[in-house]
Amino acid sequence: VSIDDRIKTVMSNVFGIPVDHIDDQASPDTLEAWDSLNAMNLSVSLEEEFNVMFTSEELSEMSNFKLIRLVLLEKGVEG
Amino acid sequence: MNAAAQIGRSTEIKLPSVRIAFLRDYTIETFLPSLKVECARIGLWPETYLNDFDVIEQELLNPSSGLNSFKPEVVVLALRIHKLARRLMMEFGEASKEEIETLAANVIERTRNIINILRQQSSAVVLVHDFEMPDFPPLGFIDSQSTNGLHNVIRRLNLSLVSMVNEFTGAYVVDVDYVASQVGYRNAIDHKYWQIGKAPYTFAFNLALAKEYVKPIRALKGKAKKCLVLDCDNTLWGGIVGEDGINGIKLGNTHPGSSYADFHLAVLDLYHRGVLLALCSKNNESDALEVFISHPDSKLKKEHFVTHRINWQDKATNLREIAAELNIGTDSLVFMDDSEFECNLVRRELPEVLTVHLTGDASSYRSVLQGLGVFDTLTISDEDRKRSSMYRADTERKATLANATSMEEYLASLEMVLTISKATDFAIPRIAQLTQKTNQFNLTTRRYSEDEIRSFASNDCSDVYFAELNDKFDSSGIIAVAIVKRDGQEADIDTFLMSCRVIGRGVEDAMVAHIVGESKEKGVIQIRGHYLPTAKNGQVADFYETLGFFAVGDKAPGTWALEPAEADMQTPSWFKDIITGGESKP
Repeated sequence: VSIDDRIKTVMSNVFGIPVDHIDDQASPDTLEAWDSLNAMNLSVSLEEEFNVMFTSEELSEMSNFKLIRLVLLEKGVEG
Repeated sequence: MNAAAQIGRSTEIKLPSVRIAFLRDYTIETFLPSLKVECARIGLWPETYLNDFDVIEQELLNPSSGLNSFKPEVVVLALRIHKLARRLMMEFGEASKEEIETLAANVIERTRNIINILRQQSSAVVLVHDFEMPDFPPLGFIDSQSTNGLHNVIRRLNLSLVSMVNEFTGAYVVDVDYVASQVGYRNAIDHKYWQIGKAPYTFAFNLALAKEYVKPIRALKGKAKKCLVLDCDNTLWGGIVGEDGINGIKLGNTHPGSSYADFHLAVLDLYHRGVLLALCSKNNESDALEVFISHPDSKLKKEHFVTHRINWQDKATNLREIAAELNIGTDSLVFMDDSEFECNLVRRELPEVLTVHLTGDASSYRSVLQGLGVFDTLTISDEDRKRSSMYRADTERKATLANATSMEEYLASLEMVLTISKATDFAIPRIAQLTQKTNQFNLTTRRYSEDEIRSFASNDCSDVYFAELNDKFDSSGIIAVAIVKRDGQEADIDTFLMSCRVIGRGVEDAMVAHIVGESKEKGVIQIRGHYLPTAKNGQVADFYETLGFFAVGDKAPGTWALEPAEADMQTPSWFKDIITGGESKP
């Protein structure tokens, strides 16, 4: 399973929407469920899925799908 | 989080709900997935309401607020020192001794005021979080040297909180500090999410807290376990008594027997909380019982066990028999055994029994039992403490039965005295507990809190009756409850329940006769009884019909009626005496 699919599956669970509704442009502007609380749920779920810990700086950078992907790759997650 | 989402999708509609409102001053949303998972484990789905930040008193005082229209069964007060008295947590070094005391007193005063308003408005169970100690005390080593160090200030604050919460009925402390210490303070607090989103607790803490919540919720919803059934060999002692002999088994003051002796003491703690104990073991009966009768280091004695099945038949059959004998459901049983075979058999045959496989290291048995957290009640009443002796008297009654020639003769020989009274302050906790716990002989299965019972009892349009039974063997305590609501010349029996211990002794007939008689005196023209079927109460489906009530066609199914003026209710003749109490309202 690719990193993109894994991120999107996590997002789909957190936001309660089907995976195919989440594209590479996904951000709080395109997804109504991506509010401040779910942003926290998302980061907890991503930490669980990829077995990583984000710093608070990283969390403030992870504001859309592409940036989340970038931070995870920087942390050594296999693409 | 994934587990909660999955449970949510698959079972939200099917499970009965429990309505929980949170009054909080931090982001408790991250706790809800854990709560859902733990509630689902006991067959409940939490419907939750969360207040907006900083408006607790406003929500409470506004009758049309979200909180008040939510109609919670449980209200949680989840407030943190960081908000209630920020200076205490964050600027402790600067605060004077007097100021610290004032801050602590203010915390208690504010929470007392909130609970007070809650109590006046609703009879929901109130759960109050206490305060966790900081992971690092601000004064370092010195902090522990003074009774005014921050850790000791918080310990005192938590004690004051317990005393304050005890001023209210139906309010209980959730020991958040204990939960945090279980997880470890440094693993409990998540500074990152506290800074980012005011969510202070880690997933590990939230899961442990959810397990703590389930204890009162289980009790409130009548889902607490009632009976612990224990295997003998390699469970209550090391070795096999039939082979090693009573002097050869491991049970005593030194290792390895000390692990079993300490396990006995943990079992005894449950006995004193009112949990029934039973034995289910493959042994020669006399070999196993001899340990409890004459082994000097067996803390558990024969009389602590309400019944036993020590034989060679399969354990699922034995457990069914134990439940039937005690008149409780098999889902009220916990079964502990060291044999994987027996555990798997019981799990397959009786999945509703909580089966605990003891995996060989006896030093863990005590904490495995103590960690189960399934026997909790909201109060421990005198009846709980006496319960096992009451059931044992039942066994003696059965022996008398064998000698009597007719059932009536037998019942008369028990010299039963039935006392029917209106609810008193003294009886209200036990009455509420019975509505929460009784599943089988319960016509409507309505669960009520102490405050709800109190309000029925003090209201002029409703009466709460309870019955106590004494016979020549024992005093059974409060064993039946009825709640009658009147509306002009009509009355409804809202609740009628009886402990299964006294089935077949005519208590229910005497009680209904009394209620009908009193209704007649009060000018009631029609009294109605209701039967709401559940998975457990099939045995009372014909209750009112048997008593001569007629089915009311135009009402919902399960409604029966009687005209007191026409009724000829027979009070059973075998009671030695029936005492009916006065009219006082508490």
